Amino acid sequence: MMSFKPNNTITQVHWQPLTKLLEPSGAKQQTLSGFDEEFVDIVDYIIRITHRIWEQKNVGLCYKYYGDICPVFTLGGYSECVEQVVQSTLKTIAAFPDRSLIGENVIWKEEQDKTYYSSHLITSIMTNTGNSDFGLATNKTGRVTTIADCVCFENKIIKEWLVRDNSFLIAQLGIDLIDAAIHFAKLVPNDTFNNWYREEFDRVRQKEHRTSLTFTDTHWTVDNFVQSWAQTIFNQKQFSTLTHFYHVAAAHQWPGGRKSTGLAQISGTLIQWLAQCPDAKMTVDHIAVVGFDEETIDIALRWSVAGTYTPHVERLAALKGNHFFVLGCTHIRVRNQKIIKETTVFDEVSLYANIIRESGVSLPLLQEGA
Amino acid sequence: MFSKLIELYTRGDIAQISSSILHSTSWKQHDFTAYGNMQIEKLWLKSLEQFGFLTLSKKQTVKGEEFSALYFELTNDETNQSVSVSFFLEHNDVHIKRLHCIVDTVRLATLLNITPDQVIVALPSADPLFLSQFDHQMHPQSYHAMPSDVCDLPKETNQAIAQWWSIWQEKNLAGFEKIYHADAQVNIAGFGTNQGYAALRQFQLKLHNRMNRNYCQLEQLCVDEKQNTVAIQWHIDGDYLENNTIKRIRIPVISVIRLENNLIVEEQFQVDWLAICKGFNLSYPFV
Repeated sequence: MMSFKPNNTITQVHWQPLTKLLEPSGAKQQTLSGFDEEFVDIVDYIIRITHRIWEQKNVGLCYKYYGDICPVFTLGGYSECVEQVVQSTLKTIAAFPDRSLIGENVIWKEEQDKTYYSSHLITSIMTNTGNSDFGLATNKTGRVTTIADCVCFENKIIKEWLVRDNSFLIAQLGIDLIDAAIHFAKLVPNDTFNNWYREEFDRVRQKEHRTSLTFTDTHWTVDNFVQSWAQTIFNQKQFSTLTHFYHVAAAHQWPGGRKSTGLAQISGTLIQWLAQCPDAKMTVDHIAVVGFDEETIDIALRWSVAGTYTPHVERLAALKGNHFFVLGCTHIRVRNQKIIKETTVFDEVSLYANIIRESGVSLPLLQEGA
Repeated sequence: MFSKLIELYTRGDIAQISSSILHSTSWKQHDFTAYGNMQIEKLWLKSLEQFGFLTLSKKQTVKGEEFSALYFELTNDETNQSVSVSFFLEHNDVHIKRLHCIVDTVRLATLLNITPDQVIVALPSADPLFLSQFDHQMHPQSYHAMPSDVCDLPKETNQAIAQWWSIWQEKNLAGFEKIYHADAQVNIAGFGTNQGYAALRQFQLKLHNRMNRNYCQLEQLCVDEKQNTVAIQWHIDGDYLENNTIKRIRIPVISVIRLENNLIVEEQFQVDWLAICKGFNLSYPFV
């Protein structure tokens, strides 16, 4: 029994050609108080402003569609104002000039404070023809999955959590993950980032992880399901219960090229990943849900994991015992109360960069004999 | 949709197939996933250069609802050499959302009269997969995915396909004689077409013995009740043994099956062996 009634009138990206997405013909479906009249719903707003800023390269439209003060949280750093958004957008476009942003899905929620929360799953194709934070230009083309979680109010994005699967991108560019993390570790984050990182780590570590959270078939709610998923699998590491959460042929995409199908492979992916942080605790920090079809719903999760790093490769042995903190986002598609498809995104390069930076250890690059 | 795909390769009709491509369509070929017009078109053009404008010599279709599949062979009339191509696609009759194309690249090398290594060089770099080790036993908290878990099949078809899957998933070799017609036409990518199941059974044994801890996982399945055809998208994970080293690898497979009286009379076992060699840095021949 699903507890959620989908709203079928809001734009759904899945089968829409780009031309229709850019010129919606339907009537306005949401109040969107303070938004430009042209937007028919929050999905339309997100899809069209993303296209205009990134694919049409109208970087200056950030001034129109971002708040002057707009905290943007990533695992690699924190920015606070629209000027920084403009500058980092321009920098990325310069390094990857043909970057396309293919909107795969937008899962949204109308919040009680009159803001709209959107979780935008994006696939980008981009050629690294310029120097970037990863190093010198590689002139290779790569694909990367991003999830941008945004709080939108009166035509502007006023807060954002941004996660990108950088480890998969650099694998295609021929860059070693640890080398990239060593480079990233040399970037000095601002005080706000350091405070946020520390406070978030401490917050997640407070999570009571031994309480049993369950759901029943007859009292199934999105919230129960998701909280139980986090508690049972990630906090309690009860991997045999995957069968309660995942379809036997569920498709599962995790960062760095981890692609699994079915319970055995998903179990392997999660065990191998969690083994590097065996005391990991997870909190689910935001949930949004929309209907996909009559039998299926899409859920967007923003979550955090914190624990103690236990290196899984010899090269990182010196980092043992440091803080392990992940900001992650997940889109899951649920049918008959089971996950049939999951896309999880976080930035593994920044994850290891933060551990390296915090440790103060100087690690050699591959070319230096690592 | 099938005719658009055939016209693409036999006539170079890019305009027609492009009308079915979304901004968010993904096209996986040679274990490389292309997104967006720029990348997908590049794959088409390379394929056209290699095996375009040949004669359609064989075709098998599976028209399902959400998913469909197509298998065809293109033949060079002068040399009589051919190549086989399989497609498994998610579509809504207007647009393609996801498509997995498997080319028999070993046969392609013969068609082009070049070596497998020369084909490997010309292939795009495969998606860099990170394959985690896992326990393929269920202990038995759950069960391995069955065909009926991923597709509603007519009862008798389900029985036949469940038995077919048990041959691979459970290595139930006795199933061959139960579900294959004695004269079944079985095409194994890279190994040619054979009459009867004996060659497939031998191939399966070799494959399993070359990979430790191998595990077969269903992905999707579609059925065409009118034609009694079924297509299965699946893969095999395992530890591949080569020169005393072990590599964790994945072999994507598309199987296209035609049934008569609940017996398999035709099967295409489609694998892109050279893409696997390139993606996991293995030497050819694979088995």
